[in-house]
Amino acid sequence: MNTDNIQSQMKKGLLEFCILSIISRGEVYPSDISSELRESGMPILEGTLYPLLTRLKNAGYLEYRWVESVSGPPRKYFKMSVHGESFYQSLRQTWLEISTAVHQITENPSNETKTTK
Amino acid sequence: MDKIVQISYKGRQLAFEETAYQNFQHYELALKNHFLKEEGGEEVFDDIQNRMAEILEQQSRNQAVTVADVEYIIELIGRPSDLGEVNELKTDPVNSKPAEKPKLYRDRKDKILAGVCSGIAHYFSIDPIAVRLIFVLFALFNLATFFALNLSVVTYLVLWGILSPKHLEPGLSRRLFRNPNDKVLGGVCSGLAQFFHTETWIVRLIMVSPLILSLVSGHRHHIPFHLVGDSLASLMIISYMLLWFIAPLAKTPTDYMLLKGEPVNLNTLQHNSAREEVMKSAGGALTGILKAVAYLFIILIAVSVSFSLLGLGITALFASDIAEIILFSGVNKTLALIGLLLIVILPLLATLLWIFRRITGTRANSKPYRLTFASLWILGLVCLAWVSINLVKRMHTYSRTQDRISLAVATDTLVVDQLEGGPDFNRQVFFDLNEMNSLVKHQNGRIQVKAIRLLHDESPDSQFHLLIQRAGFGAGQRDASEQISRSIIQYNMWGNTLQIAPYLELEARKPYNLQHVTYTILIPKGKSVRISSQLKQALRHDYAIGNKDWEWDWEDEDNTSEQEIIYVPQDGQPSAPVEDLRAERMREATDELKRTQEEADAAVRQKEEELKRAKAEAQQKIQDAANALKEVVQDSLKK
Repeated sequence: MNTDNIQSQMKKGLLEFCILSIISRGEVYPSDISSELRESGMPILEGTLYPLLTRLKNAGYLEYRWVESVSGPPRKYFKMSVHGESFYQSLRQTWLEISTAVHQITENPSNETKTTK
Repeated sequence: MDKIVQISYKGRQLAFEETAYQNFQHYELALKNHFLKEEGGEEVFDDIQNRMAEILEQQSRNQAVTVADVEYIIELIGRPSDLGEVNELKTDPVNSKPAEKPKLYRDRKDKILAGVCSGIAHYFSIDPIAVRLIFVLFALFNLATFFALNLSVVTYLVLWGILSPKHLEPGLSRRLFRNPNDKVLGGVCSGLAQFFHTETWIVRLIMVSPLILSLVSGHRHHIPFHLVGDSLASLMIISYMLLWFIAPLAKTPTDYMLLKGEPVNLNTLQHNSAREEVMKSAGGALTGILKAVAYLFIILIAVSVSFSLLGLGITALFASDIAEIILFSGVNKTLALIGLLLIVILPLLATLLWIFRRITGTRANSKPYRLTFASLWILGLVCLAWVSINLVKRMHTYSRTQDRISLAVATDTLVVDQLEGGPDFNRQVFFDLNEMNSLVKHQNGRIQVKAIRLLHDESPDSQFHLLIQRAGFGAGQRDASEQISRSIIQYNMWGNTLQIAPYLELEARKPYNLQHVTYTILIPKGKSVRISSQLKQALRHDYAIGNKDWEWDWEDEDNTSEQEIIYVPQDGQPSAPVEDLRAERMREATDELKRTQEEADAAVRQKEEELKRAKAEAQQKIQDAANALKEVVQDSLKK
């Protein structure tokens, strides 16, 4: 299943970036992350999300705190740490470079710089 | 029917159907094995358990968890075989159908208020600034219906509600930004300069020159420059502020490139990120001067506006004596003064402080300042509101009383005069502004207010009557009546003269509740009323004397020193007495004229007589002289 592999590789590379982008806006609950990703067209299984969040937290990019909830036990809310912020910014830079590069390659085969519509 | 199993799972009470519980346990075990394989998996597994508990609680909704619910969880969290590698990102089966998305969105990121304009602009692939400009222009020029029903505002709000926000990708090649790297006030000019590929100082010069032009040409009206300068200057200022509000600040290298119209691709991106540091424009001295001019201008405007407001407010409150006695109680007066000062002075102070901080370049947190100023200003507003509410409460009800008194007048003419002993309201003291329009006087611990009106009408019978209507305001019906009786009026019949005091009297320490009195003299047919010139003078400043329909004739200045005579004729008769007076005056004048004429004639005759005599004498002398000469000649001939 070669195509599947390539597609999943593409998505895999960008998933952390997208998640970090959501968290960078403010403190958030994991199920909110997954619903936003789903809405935007990049759905994710929660079983994938949680390990990813934990990994990022262990790497020091995220912090979490327990928030008391009226209905039931407290919930874990994630937010970006200072390290995470700079990591995120560099990811963003990379994304910009790559996306424009790819865009140019795929849309402008004649190598004439045509600006986007 | 399945048995129900009660479980306490992760702090939540859940009821499972037996089969569902078995499935769930099975799945949970599989998950556990999957996660615990990796390091740090316990934490992940714990999180997932909590999440599952939450979902189960929501899904089951106080009933038992069904097999379908457990299926849902499995789909949501994922089968262990699907996890680990992000192999196939399954779409959520519950929400599988993506709704038909509308094409017009609100821009989530690029927004000033709600991103409505950006969304529209994105749809049409134009610069958001253009859309914003249209909205603002329509908002401003729809002045008749200003805010509530304004077309622009309503459209914007409706769209805000209707459109859903979406992260829209920038799709333009050229956009106007404000340039934060080179800004005097808001970076508008440098942004424009970059956009149009000119130098910044040129744009600044264009912006500022109408202002300088109008300042320089001043009020020399024969030079038309100042008119052109004024209107252009206002145009420049308005467009600057508009752009300051509308155009976003350029933040990322992409923004700068869009501003300059450079194509955004990998090469130029790298090129620009390196160059970002070095983007200061030339002409530093000019910038400095312009900065100073700009700040000076702002200061001037702020100061003049504040002080005019202050002056107006204080005049309204405390220079007008009527206002002062209305607001009499100390608390109200103090509150009003404080409120006014706060509302007017604070914006001025705030502006000065802002300028000062801008100049000295302190980038400290302005939040405490803003908070202090805002709360103080609101305090001022509250003070004024309190005073006004108090006033309204006091002046809530309007009440009137009416009395009719018969007057015993022996003659056919009733004279109405001013009651002596009061303050001299009609003393005209020029150059003393206090005196000229004074409506209130203080005397002997009491206040006199000029709030009297004198009217006349026909009497229903053959007697003179005086109708006294007193009115005033109060907090309720009873209070209003009380206020009316507190205002003391004075009138007196002295022989055939009705004497009226042209003022109301109040106790000194109590406030004035706009009490006023209308005297109406009812004149029987065939009789007349003469109003003395003093009374007329005393009453003329604000209320009119005359018939109910009669308008005070402001042109009639020279008539005021005369007394006023009002005559109610018998049916069918002309108004004789008035004519009498005029005729009498005419007769007097003609008599005077005749006398003078006669005197002149007599003088002329006398002169003629004298002239004749002189002539005769002269002739006689000549005759004598001639005779004498004759004799001398004869004598000399005889010898």
